[in-house]
Amino acid sequence: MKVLLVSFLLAASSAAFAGAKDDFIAAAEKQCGVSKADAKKLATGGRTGTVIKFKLCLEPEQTLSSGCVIRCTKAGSKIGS
Amino acid sequence: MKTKLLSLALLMPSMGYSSTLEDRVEELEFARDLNVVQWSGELNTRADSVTKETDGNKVNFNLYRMKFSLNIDANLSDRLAFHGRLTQSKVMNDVTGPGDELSALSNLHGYAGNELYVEKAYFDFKLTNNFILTLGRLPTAEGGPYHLTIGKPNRSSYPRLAYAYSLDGMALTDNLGGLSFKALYHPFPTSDRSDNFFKEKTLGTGQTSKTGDAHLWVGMVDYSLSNTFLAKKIDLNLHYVSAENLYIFSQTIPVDATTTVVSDLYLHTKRVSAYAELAGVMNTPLTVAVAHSAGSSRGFVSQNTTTVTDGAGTTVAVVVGEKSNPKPVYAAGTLLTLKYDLMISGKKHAVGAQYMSNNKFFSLTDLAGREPFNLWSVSGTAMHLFYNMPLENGLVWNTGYIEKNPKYSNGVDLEDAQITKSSSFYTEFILGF
Repeated sequence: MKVLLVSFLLAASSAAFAGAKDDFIAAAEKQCGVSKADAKKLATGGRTGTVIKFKLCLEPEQTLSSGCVIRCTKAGSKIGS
Repeated sequence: MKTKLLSLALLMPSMGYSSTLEDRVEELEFARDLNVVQWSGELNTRADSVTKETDGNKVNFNLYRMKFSLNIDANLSDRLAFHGRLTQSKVMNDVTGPGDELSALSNLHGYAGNELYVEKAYFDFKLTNNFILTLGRLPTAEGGPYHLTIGKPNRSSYPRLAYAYSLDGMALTDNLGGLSFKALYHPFPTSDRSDNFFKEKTLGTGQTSKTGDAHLWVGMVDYSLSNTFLAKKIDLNLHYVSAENLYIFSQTIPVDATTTVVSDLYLHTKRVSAYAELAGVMNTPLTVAVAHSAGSSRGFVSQNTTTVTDGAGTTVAVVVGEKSNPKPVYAAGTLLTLKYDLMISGKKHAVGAQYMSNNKFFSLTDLAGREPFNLWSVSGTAMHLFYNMPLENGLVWNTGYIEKNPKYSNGVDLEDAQITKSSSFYTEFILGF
């Protein structure tokens, strides 16, 4: 029951905030030409993981474990994005 | 009783810091939801060793500067986001002061002191899935290809050659996948602060007033492609700007090769800029960026007192109530950037080169030039060699050499003895966080 509740809370949270990981997966699908399932495998956690690196965009691009280079857009750099 | 007291004491903290897993997850969500604003920033410290040479006389000096920016981003809902950037740019320990006027446009990156300026403050509001309304102080400074030379992501919607300062205004964007169309309006009201910002301003006794607002309209097309045969990523930008009645205070306007007029100016200008950036050309580590900007301008001298000077700067006449209607001048500038990535010890370094060539009128329609020793403000040619070395995630060390060879001044050819060639070896650290 506890596990179910936690799962529900986490699911609700990701639905309300289609956030960092979803943005990363969408970009990986588009830029690396991989399926959503494969894009999910490329998402790694932590401060230096692929998702946070993509979201913070301190560097213009990063090379993923698959060898694909993914580029990011810095928040506040593009009108109407 | 003792047991009851102990139980109560143990219960107290767990009431404050919810003990169940569900409650703890909920607390985390509340904490996250309360942190609407995300902060990030950048610190740029740079040193230049500059050489200037005029007619065989050489001068060397060192220049130390820094630029610090705080970014504020708030995703308020799926449809609404705010972005801001506060920036301080300064020459290090400058105790002599800038000693010149600061306008609303040129405050940004004015290297004028310790002041903190609002570089960006705007929101994007999704009207529909495709249409986005943007209002505020927009990201129009430091556009491509500047980011290529510093090893950072692009930070502006406007190409660097099209416009270089922050602009207030509004935009309507139509996003169609990788293709987007933008229409922008930047108002320039001619206001008089002493008269409740009434738009007609009296210039002086016996002088006529200028009337009407200035308007700056922009149309822009962005197109991005990934994984093409030609390059891994292609960014294209076409930018058209039209300004009418743009009021510019006290400008030096060339009359002929030896005579200039100092007067307020109403500028009518139209300009097209194109920017193409191809990263990973033919599946190689090469990035090529080409920027070109061309347009025509007509400067109407205001019906004000004008001072006519000769080539030596001596006043030869003062004309009151004179109005000129000169022929349009055609400005054009081109900037080529090449960058080659090098994998060294698992980090992506880069070497690159830039070459810029402007015609004699380019600087007249370019409002840039406050940044100490930069590539952009030359009226002639300039070249730039650079090297980017990433040190840590977010920290990059750049070094390079810039050489500027001006050929013109205010639209007039310079004689050899008047030309000041300048160059700089520079080094900078840029920390993003």
